[in-house]
Amino acid sequence: MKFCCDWVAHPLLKGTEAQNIVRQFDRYQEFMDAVNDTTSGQVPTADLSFLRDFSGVLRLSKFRTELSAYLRSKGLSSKLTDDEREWTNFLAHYTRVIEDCPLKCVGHDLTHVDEVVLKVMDVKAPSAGADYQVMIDWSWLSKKREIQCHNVQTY
Amino acid sequence: MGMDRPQLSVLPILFVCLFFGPLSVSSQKSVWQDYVDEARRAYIAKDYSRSEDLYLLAIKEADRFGVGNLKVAETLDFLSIVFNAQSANSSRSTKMARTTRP
Repeated sequence: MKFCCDWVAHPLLKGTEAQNIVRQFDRYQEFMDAVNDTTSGQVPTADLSFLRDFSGVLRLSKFRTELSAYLRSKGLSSKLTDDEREWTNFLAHYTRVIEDCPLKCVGHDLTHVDEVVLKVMDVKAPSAGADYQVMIDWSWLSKKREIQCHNVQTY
Repeated sequence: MGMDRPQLSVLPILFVCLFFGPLSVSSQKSVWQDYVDEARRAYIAKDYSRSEDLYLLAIKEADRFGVGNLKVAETLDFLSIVFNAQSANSSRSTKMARTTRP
């Protein structure tokens, strides 16, 4: 939650939370490199334990859980985080605040990734037929493959 | 006049790109979709190990779609669900083994 609060105020983060996020991407890139090194049709062998925390970061579910706990601790309704539609609406409002402010997280002494940039790609008004309301692009440079990598998430 | 020849020689290449380019992308998508469908079936059948393998193969296919595509992220979400189910399952099995041990 601190990380998401910081995003509003700072374009560059180097603190513990930011380093933790870059570390997650470092492990993810290691996994993607392992996937890439296998031949087509061969099942990649990789340690998937990083997924437990990584998907929480990507899906912002860690932010959701912590915000929910915070609201409850202050005696406030947690409907915002408990209800799927309310949560997506909240994310849409939140990302409107940060949409012009790409966030750069800088890691330290990692093998595959040095920094990760988050950028809001699209925010839509809620509508019945829409397949998403918010689109965020997480991008980083793979040190081994020397290419810009992206993971685009929709909420 | 000299300008016409290069333009004509480009035509067959253009034809191949226009005709086979989309075919190649759609066949990639079809391979990815087949892996994902099969992985879902394995997940429903609680064959998490097979489901995990198929999602890993699907991620490799999705990675070939290129920058900015949503398929890698989508497949990773599925893989994460299977991984968590498999972890929960093996932790349940360990607990069961502990409680049934004499």
